[in-house]
Amino acid sequence: MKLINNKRYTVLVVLGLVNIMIGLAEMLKIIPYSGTATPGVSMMGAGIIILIIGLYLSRTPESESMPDERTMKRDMKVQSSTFGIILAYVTLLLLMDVSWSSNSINMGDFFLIFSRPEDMSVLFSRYMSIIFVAIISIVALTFYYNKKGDMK
Amino acid sequence: MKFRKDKYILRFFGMSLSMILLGTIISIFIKSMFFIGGGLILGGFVLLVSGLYVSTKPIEYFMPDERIKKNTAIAGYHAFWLVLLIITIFNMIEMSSPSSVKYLDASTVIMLVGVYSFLSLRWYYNKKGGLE
Repeated sequence: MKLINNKRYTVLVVLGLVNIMIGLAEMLKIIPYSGTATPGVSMMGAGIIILIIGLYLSRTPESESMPDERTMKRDMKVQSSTFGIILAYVTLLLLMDVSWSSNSINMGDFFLIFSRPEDMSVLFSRYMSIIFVAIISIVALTFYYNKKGDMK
Repeated sequence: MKFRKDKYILRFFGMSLSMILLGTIISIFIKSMFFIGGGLILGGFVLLVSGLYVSTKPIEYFMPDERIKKNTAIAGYHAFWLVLLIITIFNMIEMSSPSSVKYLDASTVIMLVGVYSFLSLRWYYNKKGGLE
């Protein structure tokens, strides 16, 4: 069985393998690391996902894996709208920081639902909340524009 | 010079005047939030001036055509990925290094990169012409 039919996606497979190797090297302490998080596990996880996507896409015919005109138009519209949402959210967070942090109310805790151990705090940083908002917006807007049909 | 007086323009003027009024009230009565009041007054004045300019032109003048809509969408699409890349880099720095980037500083960078990349990309795609 031929593993790669479509060479276009070979870069994804290579990227996945590189990610897994870097993650392994970090876990085996070949790459020294002194931070609090565990990037080796995350990199291996990301590498495995990229590898699976790359292998899947390289096995499917090009006519199926390439997005059509409507999908491209929809994605552009969705991501362009998400860009506006992100800018608005970044400004809102900044205003909240400027308004409240001077009065020692830490709005970073606003995003915590559960009481957290200290080493998990990095998962709930403002940057993560922006990425979270972006992902939710993309999913919701894709659903909306798919349902709406013709792009105006 | 003739000014348009349709509902869109009146809404525009109403919004800008209420922003100026709200900004003045905040600046006078809530001293600790004077910067928000100042921002509202400034924004209100900018809206007022742009509203005056817009009201002298016919409504068809500002209707974006298909090409401009497409250029704006593709510029926003690329600007989105740039902003996401910047945020991911900041997040990686915060996650993997002992020193963290303060959000107050980082947000300025994110906004500047986002707005200027969007404007320059829109200019570029307008200049480039036909999109692939």
